[in-house]
Amino acid sequence: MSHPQRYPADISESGADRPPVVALRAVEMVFARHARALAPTELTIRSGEFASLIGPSGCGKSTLLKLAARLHEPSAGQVEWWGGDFRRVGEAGRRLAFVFQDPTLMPWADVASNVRLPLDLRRVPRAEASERVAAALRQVGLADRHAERPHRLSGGMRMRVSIARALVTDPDLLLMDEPFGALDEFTRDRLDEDLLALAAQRQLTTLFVTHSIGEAAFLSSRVLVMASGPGRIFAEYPVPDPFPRDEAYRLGSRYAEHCRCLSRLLHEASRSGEVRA
Amino acid sequence: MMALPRILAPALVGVLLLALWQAGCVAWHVPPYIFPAPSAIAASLWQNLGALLHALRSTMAVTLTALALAVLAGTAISFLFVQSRAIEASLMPYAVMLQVTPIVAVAPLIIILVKDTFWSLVLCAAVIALFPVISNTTLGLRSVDPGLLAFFRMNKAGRWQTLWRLRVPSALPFFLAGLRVAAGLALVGAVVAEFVAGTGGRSAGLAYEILQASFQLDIPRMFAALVLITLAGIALTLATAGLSRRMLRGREPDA
Ligand SMILES: Nc1ncnc2c1ncn2[C@@H]1O[C@H](COP(=O)(O)OP(=O)(O)OP(=O)(O)O)[C@@H](O)[C@H]1O
Ligand SMILES: [Mg+2]
Repeated sequence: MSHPQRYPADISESGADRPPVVALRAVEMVFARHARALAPTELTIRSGEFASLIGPSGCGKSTLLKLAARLHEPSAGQVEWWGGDFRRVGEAGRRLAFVFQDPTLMPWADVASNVRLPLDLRRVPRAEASERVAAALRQVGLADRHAERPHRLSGGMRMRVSIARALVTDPDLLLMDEPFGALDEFTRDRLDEDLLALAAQRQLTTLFVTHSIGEAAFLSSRVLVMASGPGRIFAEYPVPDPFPRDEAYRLGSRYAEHCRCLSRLLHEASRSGEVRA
Repeated sequence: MMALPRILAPALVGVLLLALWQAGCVAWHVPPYIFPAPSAIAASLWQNLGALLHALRSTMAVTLTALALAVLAGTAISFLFVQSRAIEASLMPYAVMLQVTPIVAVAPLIIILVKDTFWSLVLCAAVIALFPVISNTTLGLRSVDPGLLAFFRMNKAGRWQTLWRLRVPSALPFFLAGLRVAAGLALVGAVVAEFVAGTGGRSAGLAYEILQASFQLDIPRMFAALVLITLAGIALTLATAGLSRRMLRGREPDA
């Protein structure tokens, strides 16, 4: 097992003193009768950080994210939330929200009911819930569509509903699995900008899976490049540029430089996977 | 604009067929005791309206009671099935057995066992209406979006919350499709059971009318009863289709 290589090595660790939100300690994942989907992995996501996972298809990005969300039990190792043992999670699980690759909305319920679902499941009083739903919908720019059924919305709007549903519980940790992967580039760029604004405003800690280098460079304070065979974190790439970032940042030279470096890392990662496979 | 041709076109075809039928009977002088013309059937329907409507009420009472019973029992069994694969695996073969055994063969047994005629008829009809309710509802309760299921689990939803907020609404389109099939089968079951029972009296239905008319060689009256059965079937189909459209309003058209 190779240790993740730091790249570029000389960049100071910004925010390394912040408290950890989720930590994977020697976490390993083996699906029954399959090769190892994830080699023993160390990863700590700290408060306020926006970390992205990129890597070739099938390298274990979704697996790692689901382990972080405790949707899978790890075959070995431990997942710690907010510095505690995950077996005593209690309320900790409620500070986390997961956004799936597709919107996974209830087709029979209108937008507001879909967003209210996590509050209903927690038996939040009606009046309070309605208020929070309205606020979440305002935040994703869909306040006027609250009575609509999901199938009447565009793909991007549905994704925004899904994000509103994640935000309505006021999470501290947001885990997203290629949330904009199915959308066109223009829509994705808009949603990326909205997401950054939201993350800053709510001081979210985010772990974000994508296969777009540009998206990772734009959003992240740190990019984790994964390799496959077995799945592992191949390299860590800090993006130390300040937030907020906007359209202008995307046109700047620093962004282009990050994309180039990440692209090279990704190539190295996929080549190292081939050798091992 | 689509509604008009959808009603008008089949109505036109019907009128055309009736006209041909009438013309054929008149042209070849077909005697009414062999194959009555539509006019003769209509006349018989009018003459015997009181008795026929009474029979229709009887048959519909059996059909609707049986349908209600099948829906109640069927959904209850489905809820039981989805509790565990083991329960489903051990009970499903019996549900299938119930379905593949011809009701005509079982009906005499039921009629002997159940003293009250009405309830014996209801039971026969319910037995054949039961299976589509069970199989569709079970399939529906199981075919839940796995992403949504994970979302419920992540939000620590309880068994009941998952059932009522996720499984039941997901199953609704499947259940309604089952209901439409079951409604038709309940009518078939009611008629078949009446034939087998062959009883008159309080629960004399349309099948009994047909039997009686055939004994008396009153063929137009036989056809008149048949017309009422067909109309009852159409009414049931329209009612269940309307219900399912209402209940699924606002979902995707293909859902
Ligand atoms: N439920 C499962 N059962 C068995 N094997 C699985 C399961 N989920 C994932 N795997 C395996 O684990 C490996 C990693 O899968 P994962 O979904 O994490 O990849 P990924 O990096 O998210 O890929 P993509 O970019 O295509 O979404 C794959 O080889 C896959 O076959
Ligand atoms: Mg994936």
